[in-house]
Amino acid sequence: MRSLAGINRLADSSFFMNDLLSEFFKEEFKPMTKTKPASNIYQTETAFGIDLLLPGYAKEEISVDMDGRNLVVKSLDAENKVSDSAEATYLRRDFKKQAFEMKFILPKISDFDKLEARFDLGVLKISIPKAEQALPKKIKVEIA
Amino acid sequence: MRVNSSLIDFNRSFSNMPLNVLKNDNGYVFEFIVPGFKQEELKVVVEHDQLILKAKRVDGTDAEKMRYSQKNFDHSGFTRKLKLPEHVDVDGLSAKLAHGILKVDLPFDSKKHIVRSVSIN
Repeated sequence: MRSLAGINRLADSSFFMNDLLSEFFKEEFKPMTKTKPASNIYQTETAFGIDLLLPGYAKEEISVDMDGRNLVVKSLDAENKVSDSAEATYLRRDFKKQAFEMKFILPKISDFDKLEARFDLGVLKISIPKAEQALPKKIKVEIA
Repeated sequence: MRVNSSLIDFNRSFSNMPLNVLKNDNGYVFEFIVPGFKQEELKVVVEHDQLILKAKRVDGTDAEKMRYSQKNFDHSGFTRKLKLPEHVDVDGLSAKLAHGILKVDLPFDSKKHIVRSVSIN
């Protein structure tokens, strides 16, 4: 998005050098990639589950979208909200709230309509029930 | 970036839980990442010159039969010990849990922590 805006402005030659430079420096100081939160992926007998660690986030700051089999979990307008207590002096800083985006391809045998997401205590739990045909069938065999 | 050597966590091997340490006008703020832990599962203790954070999961939801294809974290519990900085008021310690981050406020001891500006002649 940012680079597209830059190309548009190239047309206006009077700003050419200035903008090129400022764009360059802006990019330079931005994190190049979004972070990926720690995740656990598991299955039980009846469902698939994804747990994501998102400490510091509120429910309203996260979006979960499904497009076909693709599940996208990402932070909403994190760029504005990242500046938490920016004025304090950090003696040590191991973590920081950062924009994130994660994509998952769900198994074919998922019951996509019944996908559920819950966010509590900084953990996002996504649960996708398995489709009925994928559930283990138990047939009792009569012994004659 | 570790400026104050007394804040170095000598027991780091106990846990790889990241930690932020801030200093403001009133004292220090420790930020621990504790996603998934409830308030009653966390305990902050001061023992001699150590600040100890104990986290232990009480409920047994993890005992459910789960087959992991990817396991990057485990939050059954951990203990984290930190050496307390000097000139702090341990009685004024307070902690707050929000969205999986535990903030521990440790105010300065106003009798010992003296801030003085010196005029330059």
